[in-house]
Amino acid sequence: MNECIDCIGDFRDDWPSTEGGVRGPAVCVSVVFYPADFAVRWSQCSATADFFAEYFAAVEACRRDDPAARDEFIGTLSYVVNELVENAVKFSVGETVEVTVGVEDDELIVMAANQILATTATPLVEKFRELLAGDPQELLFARVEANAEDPEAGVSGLGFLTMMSDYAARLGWRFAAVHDNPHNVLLTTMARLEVRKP
Amino acid sequence: MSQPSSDPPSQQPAPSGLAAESESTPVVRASFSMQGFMDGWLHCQHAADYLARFASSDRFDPEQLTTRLSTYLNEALELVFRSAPGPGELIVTIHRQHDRLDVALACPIAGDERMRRSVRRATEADAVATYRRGFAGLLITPPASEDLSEWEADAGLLELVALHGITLALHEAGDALVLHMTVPHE
Amino acid sequence: MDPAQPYTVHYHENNQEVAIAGSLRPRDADDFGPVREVLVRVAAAIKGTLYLNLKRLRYCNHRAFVELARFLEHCRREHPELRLKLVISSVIPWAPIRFGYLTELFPNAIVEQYDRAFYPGQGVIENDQLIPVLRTQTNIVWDHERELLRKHGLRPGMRVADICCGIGDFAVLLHKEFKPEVIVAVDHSRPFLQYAIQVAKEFGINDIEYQYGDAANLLLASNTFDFVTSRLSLQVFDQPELIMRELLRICKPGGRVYLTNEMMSHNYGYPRHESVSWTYAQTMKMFATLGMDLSIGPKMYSLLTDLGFEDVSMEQIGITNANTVVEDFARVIESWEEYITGELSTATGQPQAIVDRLKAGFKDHVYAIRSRRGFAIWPIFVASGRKPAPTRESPTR
Repeated sequence: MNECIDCIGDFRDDWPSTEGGVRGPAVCVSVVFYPADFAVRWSQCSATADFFAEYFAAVEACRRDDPAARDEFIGTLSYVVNELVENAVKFSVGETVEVTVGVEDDELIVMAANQILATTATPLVEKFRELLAGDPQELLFARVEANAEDPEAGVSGLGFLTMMSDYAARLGWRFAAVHDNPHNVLLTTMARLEVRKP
Repeated sequence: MSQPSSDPPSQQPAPSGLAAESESTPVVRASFSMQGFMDGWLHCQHAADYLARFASSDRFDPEQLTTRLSTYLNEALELVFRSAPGPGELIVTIHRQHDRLDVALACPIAGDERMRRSVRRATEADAVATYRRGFAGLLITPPASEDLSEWEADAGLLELVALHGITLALHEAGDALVLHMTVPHE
Repeated sequence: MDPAQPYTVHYHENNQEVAIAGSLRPRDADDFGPVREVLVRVAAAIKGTLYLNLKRLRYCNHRAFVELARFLEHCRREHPELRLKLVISSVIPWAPIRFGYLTELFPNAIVEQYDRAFYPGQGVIENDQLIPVLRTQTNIVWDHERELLRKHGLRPGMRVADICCGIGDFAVLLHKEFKPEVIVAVDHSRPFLQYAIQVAKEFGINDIEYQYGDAANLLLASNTFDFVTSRLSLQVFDQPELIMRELLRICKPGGRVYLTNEMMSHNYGYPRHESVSWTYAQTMKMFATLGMDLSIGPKMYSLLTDLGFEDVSMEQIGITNANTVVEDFARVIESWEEYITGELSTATGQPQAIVDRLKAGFKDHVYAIRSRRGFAIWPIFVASGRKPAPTRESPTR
């Protein structure tokens, strides 16, 4: 594993877990993109989000008989995956972007990993700490207002705040060294969702 | 499932060895834990449709390739599903070479012999004649005999070779069986 | 589409067609059961030709392919006189390969390849632009109309005339449902009549009499028919009263004349209702330049009473996205779009900007139909009246 520089928020460093060579969690799907070789457009990001959502809606641990509950599950997972994938693809400077979704112990975890420039790591750490510092709903409201007043200002973090506020996601980030490239850092974003019992 | 690594998976030793070919470029790689995959028959088509759509997205006529690739990939995934392999991972990798896509499906070796038998049937000489004989037998005699039942279960891959001109190969890599499929763009 | 069943299977009685669409990838023979049940039931109930509309069947796994082949074998054994036409689209690349192979094995089946809206018995057609429009319309209206016909007085064994019969699909449906003593179907379009005759032949129907005729000057005797129908037609004539007089004339005293017409100004779709309303207002203007009144629907009451019909009864069929198969309704609008932004726009000299706006408006209507939050309606007015018995003062005209 890459050497961890910093971990922020609710990042589970032990996930996906492995025990004595047997891989867990029980249900996990991972997709790797190669954006330098095969361009990833925004439509593929949303197709990826929809795929994960439909796939996990049919997984035993997440299955819901009630159509409305099923739709809610799909809507939530699709939104979260889409946000993480779009960000990862947009800001990736390395050769791969990896998206992983898994369910374990009533928790659904979405993870996206991409390389970023090492020089951008410190400001990002600050931004993420800021996002986690206050009440997500209030922060979201304030940022939406700021955006409305000055659309050119480029207010960031709305996607993360929406995840925390509207979808009760717990977020975390991990910054790790890249062995053969000191100019890059491996950023992994994690969103943790409770798989609600029917 | 591996931890995110600084080494791009395409540079790691891939089970198929395809990444070693210098003209091949990686398109996408998907891995599925078998337990979740076996939860639902629909997972076969979810995965086939998504990966096909992804791999076709840069074509002038993406729908045509999406439909073909999903059709072929789905038959292979259904075979994996029916083979009921043990715990482990199913890994699908797609690479592009000039005018075709190379698809590799790696699944755990444990499970019944269906995968090996199916590919062996599909890669024997004169697949067309084999397919036609077997198909005619299915219609005249609904499969009461074990031979025909087996043939019907395996015919998905044979049809791809006999009617659709797909190239198949199988090899073993450690504890995984790897099925290769070559799909022309057009 | 139901996520657990990502395909649909529908029987369209009008076309003797079973349409399978979506992704048909059953796990085993049992999983194919719902499709098999429809196919076997239809094959047992019809004569002539059974159409399998597979144009929108995007995915079919090998299991489904084998089961379809088994169905063809079943037909060969159990219904040897039945012909099967597999209608496919070249948009689905595996379809010509697979179904071409099946037709090598089954002499009772042929493949027809279409890239546009389906219609059976293509043959030699001079003006085929309207045919898909008319066929898809009848498909969705018939389910509503069959009961209304009964309510407005149609009974088995009657002598029936269908004036402005178009492509003859309504006459065929009426023939199957009500078993009249006689049906005479009249139209002024030779291509439509050729098509209608071919369809009836393919469906094994020999006793509909098709006539080439002028609805304002029918070559039919007076006081002949118990029930006279003219559907979605008055709206296209610039002098509908001339047609009405002929309908009255050929009807027996005590018999009924039955009409349907649209009120296009009330075609509606929400959301994007402004765009939809503009589209139909513009379309009506275009038709009006050709002397057509596409909102004549509600005026039928006064048309009938002015001519002396008694017991006039009128109501509305509201075709909506709640009471109609959504994809069928969408296809009707799409076929309107094709005709109106194509032939009609050319005929009425519309500038490109208007055509583009019309296209967007029809798409907005389709959006309303397909949207979970949307509402869309196509109202059709239905009216009938009884021809009075002759009196000393006004003998039969």
